[in-house]
Amino acid sequence: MSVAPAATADRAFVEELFARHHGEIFAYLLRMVRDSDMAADLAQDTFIKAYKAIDTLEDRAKARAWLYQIAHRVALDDIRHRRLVRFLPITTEAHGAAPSAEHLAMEMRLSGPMARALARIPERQRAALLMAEVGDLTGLELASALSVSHVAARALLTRARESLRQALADEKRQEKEREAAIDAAFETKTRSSGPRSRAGAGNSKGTDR
Amino acid sequence: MTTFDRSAIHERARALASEAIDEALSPEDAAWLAAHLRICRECKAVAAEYRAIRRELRGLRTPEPPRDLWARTAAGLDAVDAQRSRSSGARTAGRRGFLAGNRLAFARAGAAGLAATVVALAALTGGFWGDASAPAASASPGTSGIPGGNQNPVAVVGGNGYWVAPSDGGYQITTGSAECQDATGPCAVGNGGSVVMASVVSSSSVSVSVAPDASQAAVWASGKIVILPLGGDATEPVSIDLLTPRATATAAPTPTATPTPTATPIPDSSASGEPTAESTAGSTNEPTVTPEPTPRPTPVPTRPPEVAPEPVAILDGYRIVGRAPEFSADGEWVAFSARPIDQTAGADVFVWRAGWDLAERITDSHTALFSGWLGTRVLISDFVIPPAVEPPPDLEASPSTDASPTPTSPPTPTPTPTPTPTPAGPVPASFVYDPVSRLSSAIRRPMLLPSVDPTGKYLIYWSGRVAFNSESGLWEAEQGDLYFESWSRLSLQPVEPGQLAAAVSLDSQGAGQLLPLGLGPGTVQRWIVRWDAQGRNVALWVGDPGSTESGRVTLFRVDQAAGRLETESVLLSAAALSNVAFDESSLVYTMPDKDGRGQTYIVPIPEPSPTPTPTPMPTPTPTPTPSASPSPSPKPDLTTAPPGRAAAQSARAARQSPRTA
Repeated sequence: MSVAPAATADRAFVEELFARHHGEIFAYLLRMVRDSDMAADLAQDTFIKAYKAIDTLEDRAKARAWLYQIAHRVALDDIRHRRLVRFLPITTEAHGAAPSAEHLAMEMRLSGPMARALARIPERQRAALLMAEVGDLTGLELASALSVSHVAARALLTRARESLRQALADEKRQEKEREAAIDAAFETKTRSSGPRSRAGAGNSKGTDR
Repeated sequence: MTTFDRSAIHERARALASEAIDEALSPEDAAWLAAHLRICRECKAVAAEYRAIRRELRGLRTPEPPRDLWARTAAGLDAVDAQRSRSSGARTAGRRGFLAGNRLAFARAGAAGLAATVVALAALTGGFWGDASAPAASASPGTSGIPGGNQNPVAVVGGNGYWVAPSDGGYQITTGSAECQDATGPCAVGNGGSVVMASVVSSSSVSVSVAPDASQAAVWASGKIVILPLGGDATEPVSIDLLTPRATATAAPTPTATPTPTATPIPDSSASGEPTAESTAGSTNEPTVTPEPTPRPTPVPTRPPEVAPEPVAILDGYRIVGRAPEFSADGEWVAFSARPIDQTAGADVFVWRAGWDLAERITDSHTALFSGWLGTRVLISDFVIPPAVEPPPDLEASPSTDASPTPTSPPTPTPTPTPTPTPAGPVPASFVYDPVSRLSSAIRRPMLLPSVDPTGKYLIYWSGRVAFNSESGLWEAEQGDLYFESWSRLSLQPVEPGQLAAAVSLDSQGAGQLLPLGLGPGTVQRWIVRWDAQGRNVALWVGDPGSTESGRVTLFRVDQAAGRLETESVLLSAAALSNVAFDESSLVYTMPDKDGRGQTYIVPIPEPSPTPTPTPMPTPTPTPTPSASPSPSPKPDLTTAPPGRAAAQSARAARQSPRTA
């Protein structure tokens, strides 16, 4: 049994693409869908789709933007799919799987304002920003990846930057408010229980934390 | 000028400020923008913010893709090839990708005290602590990630090899005889006269953990954990994606509202199947248990072991976290830790018993990790804040705690007679859970992921400082060491729900035999403990800093008389990938080379004189490196790498020579 030379060359080309770009494609997808396993699945999907559609790549010098284009579509498809289908675990454990207050607090504290702001802006804008700023795609490459004109890509990028700027400012403001509220609550508690805390060897502090 | 005009001017300025970040503006636009920014403070600030956003975005840490991404992708590409071949009427010869199947390593099969030893080859994927879509450094016995490629060995049971191979868009779990060239030559999992034991299809990567007797396997993929019988009607592929848990859990008991930890003394070891061991220095095998007269929960009715006659999805919508699912020694139970796939909660520990439709969640802290089996009981680690007896000098001086949630609700502090400083944050705490009686006993000494030897006499555990990893959403070992200890020297305390923190005694922290394994004190962050079947030797793998898969394996003998590890003279110390295993009396490990490929070695552990001869075992890569074959040596130096890997090891050996005692 033999493999057609063209098929072998295509396969080798896709393997080379994978070797060169799988890291950045995975990073892009992870920031789009915010789930590492999902991002890995989508990255896998991206390269398989690329292999299937290798004949549509006219200029192999532009393969990187083409890969981003596929990854972008794959990500948007997934995000739309997840909007339509709300996954609910069908298990007896489902009732116990609701996020705890601690977990929610953890999420708020531990994902930075930038990550939260990025998650708030529209997907297409997020995609444009990630490809341009993180993926370092040129304007033409970005336009190709987004399947829009160069002018439209630039406009999208401008809107994305403005959206992110506002979202980021909002996130930082909210974070300050939360910190102020925590500080105020802590001060109130310290004042009300100060003498007892000092006398009581600080046990309540351990509990509170 | 109208308001509209002014607005348009500012919009143009911001658009140009944005464009100027990406590409050079025309001279006219650049001049206009510069002039505008000189007179418009707001637009100037916005332009500065755009630039700051770029810097911040570019400063984001680049996430590392999972190690098995290529293997998974290669499997998909293989499937495309196969589809094309079928459609064109020609069969495409199977081929391997440039990485597929190369990063293989053995993982010890079978829990402590297995009758049958199972050795599994595991693809190295993911992180040690993170979601284990495929087993990583924490791969449990009998586990293998299933990437693409033609063959990926899963296990060796009684001389028969088990492996997984892509087939028609799915995977087949196949068995056959192991084949070796000669007594000292390379061995490979045989592929002649193979029998298909099961076929699975999944849209995502599949991971497998084989039962000790290889009668069944735990398979996890697509957010499901499935128990798959082996050796039945294997011609019909099982679609993991289509399997759903049965609607009614007839066999599984209803989880209690607060299942963990529950109370009262642990059951008698003889009654619970606890491995008995010879008395050491007059001590009993079982740790001291402080009895507590509390009502016993209703035990789970005893039922005869039952192998699932057909595939059953025991959990859906969850992802394995930490150690991979592991069968109990009798093969009747499976335990694992998992978290919801949508990450709406952290990790909890689940158990499943043969005959049950669904796995039962036995913890509710969302921070619990499956640590291993102790006979028929489950070892679980969690993170707690022990009661404070002295106020911390400065509450603000513990940023790790301030930045992280309380992993479990701390109990009402109870002053203890001996004041002990409050730790800076949570400490690891472990407990033993009996899934039959549903009783729990806390190990009073703070420890993380204890591993008890098959005889139940000794354990190795990690102790140190933990930190919250915001990426994985899990608490992790940050700075600590591994310790060896006799199980009998530990103190257990029956615990009620929420009492785990109160049971932890910081007084005993640091007790035990400190094992010199890392690059210095407190440097062990990732580790694997593998005992041989008799508990006489133990292999410890410690990861290199910053690497999820490379590290060093060190083989120690247990001094049974003294009840300690012979750390003065190690049997072997070698660079190794993250999975090491014992196949009966042989240690199996995979040595990395510079291009990420690995060469697997089987090292017999002779008695009483430790003069094993490393036997290279190539990974199922079609083109094994010729230089990987060791040159025969009557007395090989086991503290060095086998021949043929000198180049790969030289740098590491130079770096880690203090550990190759």
